[in-house]
Amino acid sequence: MKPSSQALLGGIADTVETQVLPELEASTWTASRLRSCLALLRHLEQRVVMEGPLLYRENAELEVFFGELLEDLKDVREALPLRDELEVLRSTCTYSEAYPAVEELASVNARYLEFLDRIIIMLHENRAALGEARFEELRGRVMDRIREAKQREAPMIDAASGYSPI
Amino acid sequence: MADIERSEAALTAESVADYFSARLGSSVTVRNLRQTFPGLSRETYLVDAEVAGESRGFVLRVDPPSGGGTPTSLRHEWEVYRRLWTSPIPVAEPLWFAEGVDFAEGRAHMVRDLVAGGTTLPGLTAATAEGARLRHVAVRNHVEMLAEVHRLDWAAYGFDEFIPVPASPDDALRLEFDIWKDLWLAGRTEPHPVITEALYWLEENMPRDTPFISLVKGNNGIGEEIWRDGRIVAMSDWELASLGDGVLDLAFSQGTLALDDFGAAVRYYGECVGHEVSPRRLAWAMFWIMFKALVCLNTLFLRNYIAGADSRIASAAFGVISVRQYERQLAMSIGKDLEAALHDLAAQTTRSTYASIGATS
Repeated sequence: MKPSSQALLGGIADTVETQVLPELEASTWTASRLRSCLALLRHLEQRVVMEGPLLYRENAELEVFFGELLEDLKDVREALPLRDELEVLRSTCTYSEAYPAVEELASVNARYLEFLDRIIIMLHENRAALGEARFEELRGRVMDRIREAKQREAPMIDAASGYSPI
Repeated sequence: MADIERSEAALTAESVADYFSARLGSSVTVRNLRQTFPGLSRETYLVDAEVAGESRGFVLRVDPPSGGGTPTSLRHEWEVYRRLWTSPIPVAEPLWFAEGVDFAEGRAHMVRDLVAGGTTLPGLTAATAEGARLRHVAVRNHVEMLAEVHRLDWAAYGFDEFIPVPASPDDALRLEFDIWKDLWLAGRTEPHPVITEALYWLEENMPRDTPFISLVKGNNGIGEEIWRDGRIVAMSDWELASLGDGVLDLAFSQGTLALDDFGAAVRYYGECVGHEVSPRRLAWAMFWIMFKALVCLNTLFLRNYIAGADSRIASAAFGVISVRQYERQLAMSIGKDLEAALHDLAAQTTRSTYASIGATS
């Protein structure tokens, strides 16, 4: 269907930015609400095309990342329950269709992020047992994973960063 | 009918007049009622009234329908005002607090006298010699006022009766950390692994060189305090007041201390309180304030928006966009030396939220 969702959102945002907001006094709640809408429109303009592929890729990479990290922790007793949980996660975090809806991808991503959160806590709680060098290596891998995800989503956020949310 | 710019659950001049009349036991006419801008955590209205034929101004502060935008209650802020009114710190006279009464749908609210002045200074951002002079004077005055707050004998005014007190100055930031970490874990809308890591990083690097336990104002600076003739005449917005390390206020000035020379402002603050601020302590505070803002935006604004309790679109915008911006900044900082990390982020962390949108009194 043309124009695309991205083009339509961009057109709406352009209209608000160039034809409506300039008519309003900046320091009013009416203008403020429109600025909030504009910031979100600029965000959505990118998100509508990025979110699905980004989540699909992120989920696939997280699953591999968890497997590799926990394999490297197989000698750590405290990590063993997480290995079992990962198997459960893998068997339940499946998609109902070949082309999953964004909501389904987001739901799986939330479960993976919760799992990553628990891995982080496990690493910190076992820092002394792991030894500083090994701990820092593992923490570095986790942070690299997080930074990469944040960089990938950056265009969706940066698109709105020049617009005041209030 | 007074000219009112409406928020989602705006009050009317008539309802305010009726309520104030009953409360003051005198006939009140509201000539103008205006919600101040900006300000999302709570609704603040300027009430231009006539009480028994005499002109009088009030400030009415009301919880939004979804509740406040900070973890502290409006009653907490009221208790701060009540005590400060008897202290040397300049605040507007607090008049009353109420909740659950037949006004503003029973929402918590407090009323204080209106102090003449504004939350901005005309000409403050002018690229002229006079603008530079004004910024210099305003920043120094703001520093002096913060120092006065931080040197206040808070126990003498009973602040320890309702605010948790750190066990010692060394533990001031530890108590702050524990309180806000708990708020985050209890209220976050979803797991945020980057914040989990950030909390470990901040805990590992927590300074312990707090010189003394202070009353900490919370959000401060242009857009919060009342200014007149280039000076602060009343300090306002105490909803995040706590007992702890005053350095947190330097990090929470919303760009005000950076209007002139940020480094000079921090050094001047050190002179005013008699203790130099270590760069590490300041850097930690800057990242900590980022985390606190994130807690409010996610656990209150965004959570309430998702739940349908807060329909304000700004809550969604802050909750989605600003939180992700902070997360990325933290992700890029974790693991670095605190001061180096702050140096890398300096451009973003010293910019005022309200710089370009005309904050008004």
